[in-house]
Amino acid sequence: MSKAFDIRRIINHIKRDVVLAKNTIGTTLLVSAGLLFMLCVFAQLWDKKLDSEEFMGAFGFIYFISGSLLSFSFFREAHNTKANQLYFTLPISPFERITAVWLTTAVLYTAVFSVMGLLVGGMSIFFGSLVLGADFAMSTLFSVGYWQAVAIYMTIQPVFLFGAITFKNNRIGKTLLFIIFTVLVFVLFNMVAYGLLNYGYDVFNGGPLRNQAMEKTESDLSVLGKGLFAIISGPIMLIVTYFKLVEREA
Amino acid sequence: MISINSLYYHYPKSGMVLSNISTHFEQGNIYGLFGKNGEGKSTLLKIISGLLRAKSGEFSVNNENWTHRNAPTLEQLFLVPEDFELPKVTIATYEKITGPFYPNFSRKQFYDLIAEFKLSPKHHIARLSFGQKKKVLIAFGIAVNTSILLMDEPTNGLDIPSKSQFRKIMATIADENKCIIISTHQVRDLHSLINHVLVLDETKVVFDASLVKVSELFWFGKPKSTEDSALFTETGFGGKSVMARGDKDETEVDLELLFSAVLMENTAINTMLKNSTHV
Repeated sequence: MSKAFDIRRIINHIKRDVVLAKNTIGTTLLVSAGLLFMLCVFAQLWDKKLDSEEFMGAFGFIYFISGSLLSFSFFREAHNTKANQLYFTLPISPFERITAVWLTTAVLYTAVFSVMGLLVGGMSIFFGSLVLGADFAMSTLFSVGYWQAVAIYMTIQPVFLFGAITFKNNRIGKTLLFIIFTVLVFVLFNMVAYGLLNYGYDVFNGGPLRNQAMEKTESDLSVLGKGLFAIISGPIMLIVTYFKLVEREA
Repeated sequence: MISINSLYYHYPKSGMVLSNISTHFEQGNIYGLFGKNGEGKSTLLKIISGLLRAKSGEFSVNNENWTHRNAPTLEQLFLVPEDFELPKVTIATYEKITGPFYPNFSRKQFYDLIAEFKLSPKHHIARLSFGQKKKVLIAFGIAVNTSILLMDEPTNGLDIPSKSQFRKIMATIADENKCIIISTHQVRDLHSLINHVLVLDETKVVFDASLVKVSELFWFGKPKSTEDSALFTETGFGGKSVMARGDKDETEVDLELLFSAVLMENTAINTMLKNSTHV
């Protein structure tokens, strides 16, 4: 009798997803590599060097956009009434399936994109030094900014998986609308909470007291707020995606 | 193997599709699940395969409660749906990415069947006809060697030689450890293949008997004497009849005739069946 949770099923699902999405993955990586190379070369035109901030700006932007597009290309079979019978009768539990998809679109994607970024960055520096006479400094490629970009992507990416399993059509647009709506609710909630908590302190008349109160709130709650946001868009969205998948399966 | 007790199902905003279904499917049998179009055959197979959840009733697969899907049970069943879409890859790639999910999958058996169906592992599935795609899925469904094999209208889309080939292949894979359920409204396609008949009509199971029992109780053919009272007679000149066998010689079960008789003369047929069980 096989186990209720089996790592082999996760590996099998990852292999299956990668094989079925190989064209999408290949195209995404090629376009990303081309864009990254052009942006890196462009950045060396003026000051004849590629500094860490410039590289991470381009890398982070393309990494985020490509990753979100890749995430949306998963779970397509789940929405196709002809394909989903075979997809959902595959012997794999929803938990194993969601783990496999997350590992592919978040962890594996980040690893592959990072290696690709390192190679393209290196090539652009080499190209810059040869053609533009720029400085050859490979050490500037990865920095704290890299880990920040990865952390932001890992935090936001589950929302794209949620959009991919929840919406059948116009998945990207509907997910963006969902994000905008959620952010608006979050902002509104913060404003109402701020108003209710500080009403008695006469902070709505403007002036230095108001500014001081705002600064104090920001410094006191920014870590808490970021943490809360990270929990909502990260693990909680993964849990919601899991339940959406369970709902779709039967 | 599969035990269903008082199962009810309806789709959202629609009337009842299956009501009070109680039956058992045992290993070592090939079941023919018959019924007119829209009588719930596919729905029942989807419930068994875990694609739909029964609204109420008890339901177990391999003695495990099957109200919630689980991977170990899914490893023991395979569904060949009526309408499906396979991934756009070669047959060999399909085998490589799907076979490992099934512990008893046999590559050799799969490729032997693919060759028997005059297909090649290099063929791209997207470029195959619907009938050829069905052959790929039938070959795969057999090669996974699950203890439960569900087939929904497997002969739809197959040409006449392929239908006969299908029957031969199915006959060779049947063994005492397998439970095969084949749903169809083309009763003739399962001739000499099944050994148990289950008929669905108006949301209910209206007939559930082994062919051995049917042979014991009923006689199929053109009655020689007009004195013989038929339970059911086909309309039209020289129509064949279903009669109580009594002392007559055993005849081959005419599935089409039996199906029509069950739908038209359900009470008489089932009364005979019931009386024989009580004897």
